[in-house]
Amino acid sequence: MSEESSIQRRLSREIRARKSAEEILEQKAIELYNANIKLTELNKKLEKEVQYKSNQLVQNEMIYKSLVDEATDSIFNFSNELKISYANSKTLELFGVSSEELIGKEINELVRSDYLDYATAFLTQFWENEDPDRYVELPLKNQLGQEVWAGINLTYVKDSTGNYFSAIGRDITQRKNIENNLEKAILQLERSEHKYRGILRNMQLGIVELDINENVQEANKIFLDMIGYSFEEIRHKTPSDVYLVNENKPLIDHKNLGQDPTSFPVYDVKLNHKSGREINVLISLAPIYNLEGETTGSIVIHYDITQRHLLQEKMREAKELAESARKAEQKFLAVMTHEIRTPLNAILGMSHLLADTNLDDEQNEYVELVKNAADMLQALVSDILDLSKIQAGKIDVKNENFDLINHLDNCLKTIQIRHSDPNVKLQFKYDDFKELWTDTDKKLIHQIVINLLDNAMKFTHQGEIILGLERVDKNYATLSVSDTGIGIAKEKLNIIFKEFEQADDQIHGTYGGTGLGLSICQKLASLLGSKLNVESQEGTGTKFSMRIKINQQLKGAMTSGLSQPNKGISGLKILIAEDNKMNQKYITKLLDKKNIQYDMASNGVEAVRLASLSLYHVILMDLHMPEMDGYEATKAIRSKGKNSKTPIIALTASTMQSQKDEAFKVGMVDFLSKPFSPTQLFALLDNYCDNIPEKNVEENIIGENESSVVFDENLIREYLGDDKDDQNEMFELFLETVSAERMEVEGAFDSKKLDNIKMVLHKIKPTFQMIGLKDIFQLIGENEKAAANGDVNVVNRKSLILDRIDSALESVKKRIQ
Amino acid sequence: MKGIVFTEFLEMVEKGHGYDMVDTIIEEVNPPSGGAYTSIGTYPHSEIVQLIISLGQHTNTAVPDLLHSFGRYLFDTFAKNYPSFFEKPSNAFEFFDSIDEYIHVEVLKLYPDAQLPTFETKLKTDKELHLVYESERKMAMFALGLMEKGLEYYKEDAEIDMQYVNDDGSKVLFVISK
Repeated sequence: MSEESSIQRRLSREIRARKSAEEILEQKAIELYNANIKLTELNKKLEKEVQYKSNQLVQNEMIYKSLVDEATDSIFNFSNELKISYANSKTLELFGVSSEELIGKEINELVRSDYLDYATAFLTQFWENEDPDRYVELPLKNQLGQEVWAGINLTYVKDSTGNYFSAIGRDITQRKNIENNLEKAILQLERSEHKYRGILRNMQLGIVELDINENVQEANKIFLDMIGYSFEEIRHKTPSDVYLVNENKPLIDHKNLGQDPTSFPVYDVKLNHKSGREINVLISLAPIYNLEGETTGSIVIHYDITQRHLLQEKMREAKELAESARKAEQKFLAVMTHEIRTPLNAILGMSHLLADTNLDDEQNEYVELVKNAADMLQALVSDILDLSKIQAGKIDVKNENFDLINHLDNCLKTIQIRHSDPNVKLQFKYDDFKELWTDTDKKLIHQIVINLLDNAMKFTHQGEIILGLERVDKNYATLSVSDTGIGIAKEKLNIIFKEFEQADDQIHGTYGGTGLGLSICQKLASLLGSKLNVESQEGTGTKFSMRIKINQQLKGAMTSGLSQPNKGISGLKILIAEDNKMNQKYITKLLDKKNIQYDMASNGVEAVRLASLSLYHVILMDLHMPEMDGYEATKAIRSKGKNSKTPIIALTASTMQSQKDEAFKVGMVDFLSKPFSPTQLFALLDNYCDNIPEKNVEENIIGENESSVVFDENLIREYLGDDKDDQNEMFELFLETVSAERMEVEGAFDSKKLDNIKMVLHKIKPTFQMIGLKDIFQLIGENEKAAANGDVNVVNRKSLILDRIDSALESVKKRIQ
Repeated sequence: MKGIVFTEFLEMVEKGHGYDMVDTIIEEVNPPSGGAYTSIGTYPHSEIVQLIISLGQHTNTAVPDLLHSFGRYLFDTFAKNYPSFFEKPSNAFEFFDSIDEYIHVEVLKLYPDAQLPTFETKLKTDKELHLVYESERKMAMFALGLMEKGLEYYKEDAEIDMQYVNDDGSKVLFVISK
């Protein structure tokens, strides 16, 4: 290859390369030109578009402006210098100003002065934090000086016209007022709570709040001081975990809570102090309810009564000490008087013997003095003995049925023998009736009357002494002793019943006496359920009187009948007519206690029906009942049937005499005033025990087996002691022996020989007494006696006695079970 | 293939072996475009391949070595003609990382018909850079030359390890570690 041709080829290549490059460049230039033309066209189009959009923007702005102007919210703008630059019509309305007045004003001028600092701080913070928008509530002043609360949404706007604040406000005055009222109410509530908290604090009450699981939620300081624990030590624990003595746990059981929302019981409980000692507190528990009314826990209030308990304990001890001292004193008195009596009797006896010997006048006078002194001493000792007996409760008051008139007459006779002062007339005055029966203690009445008469004799030197008996009503009579003696000064009346007191020291000197007589009378009267009254005028006379319960009406029925020995009220069978449920329960409870049988009628009709079915010893009749009242029912029962003769006793809450008269008219015999005590009821029933006809009892015994077997618990205790196990051992022994002996009894009756019967009855008799079956013991005893006396009727009582023995066995078996 | 590659290649041949060698390989290959190349034109890829093969035969040099040398040579041209691409990255790793993401994007804006390889960054730490070269042209050695010169440009010292992912060389992993 030649060099020239290589250079030529290079040249030709470079020319070709240049031409191709020029071509490419030309092509590129054309492309560029075309592109330029296209761009110009595009630019024109864009300008048009911009113009259109700008127009639209202006239109939109106008729409928005009118929207803003007409908006129901207040809209306004203000500059960085806080000057208002725009305000819509709502804003102008809110402030009551024209646009010219508002524009250019500083925003601070519109804010209530006390909120200025707050508003400034808010704006500063808003500014510094560059928050996009924030909400604030401010009180503003309008032109009229009225206050308007505004809730304002604030936005910081940056646009072509500059930076400014844009605010949208709304009148929230009404809401604010409500809020303010609410705040006031809350404040009031807080103050009230504060007040009560103060009260509670000063009341020294320990207060604990428990949740529904009885865990401690809150406890006040007083309570913590009370139990010595810190709050942390009891928090979230139950009271019995920490301080409540376990036996008291059920008292705060939430299960028992809220059953009666009106009453919160108070208990006296023991708490364990942290130190280990026990403290006594009164606690009360009240439930806490949530808004739905469900129990969510409780408030327990504690009041420390430890001191009071200690004090009570001390008082009890002191009382016991005093009582034992008193007992010792009484015992001493009783013993001493008794010890004095023996030598005193000797002195008296010897003085009498001495007086019968040959004595000169002087000696006779000395002996007389010794006798008088010894008599005085004996009276004193006797009085002291009486008094100490009364005080020791050693006097048994008997209930004897006797005629007062007859008895008082005897008393008068006794006195007349003792005293025979011709200047003093002694009389017994009583109403125009022959006899007046009572149930009381004969001996005590005697003692009272003799004492009073003695007393009257002593102080009466001229005139008369009258023993009087006056009937007050059908139930009561007044017994009185009046005299025309020296009388008692008014101011002394209240001391005459006191022991060892006399109206005048001088009296002791003049009249002697122990000063115990009236005191004893008063005490005896109260033992009889009465009271000794005194009326007196100095220089004119004195009258002592007391009321005695009488049973005049009863007498007719009583005398006609049956002088059977007292069977005890347990043998009674009673019909009760009473509509009040409470009273029914009360009466039946009492009757159950005494093992008295009874039927209960809730109205008169039922009472009449029951009375037609079985015989009763007594009928207790309420006067006011539904269906048929007590009067009608009594008439019906009286008119015919089994119970036409049965005593009917009126139960009434009324004390009106007219009612009582009416009751007597229809045939009732006695009254029991409601409310009555157990003693009153039993005393009344006791009066009618004698009324149980023997035949009736036998019928009952035969007719109703074990139900009429009654254990006398006192007898059981007396024979077998208090221990139930010991008692049961004896009962078992009884079953064993009597089961065997029953056959012997049967055999003896079958032999029809009185001797056999007597022997076997004698053998089995004591066991019945021992286990408290007094009735059977008596039945067997009577028949034993009858057999011994040769009464052949005994042979016919085989089934009766065997039945009773069987009932006894049956009852004992039941008792052991 | 962009004209600049042809004009720069032939310039490199002329500098190394004189214009006669240029003339010889053009005459020998007799490319369809006629062998008159301008830097702003576009020519078939096969032509440069044939020119390189022809040069290898005449100079007794392996084609990969020629590609490698050409890469190193062309870097200087690039650095001179397009300084803005090199000023922005502060070190070689950043520069390599920017090839796919930035340089080739800009090249395509100027020459929408340009056919470019991809340099995907798989891992980049202070000490190591993994780049995957992928191109049907299989010119990884050319890329290696460019990268070596790149390290020199930023005055950095690093090892370049070349691992073939595809056996035909269309996909190659470059592990550059300092």
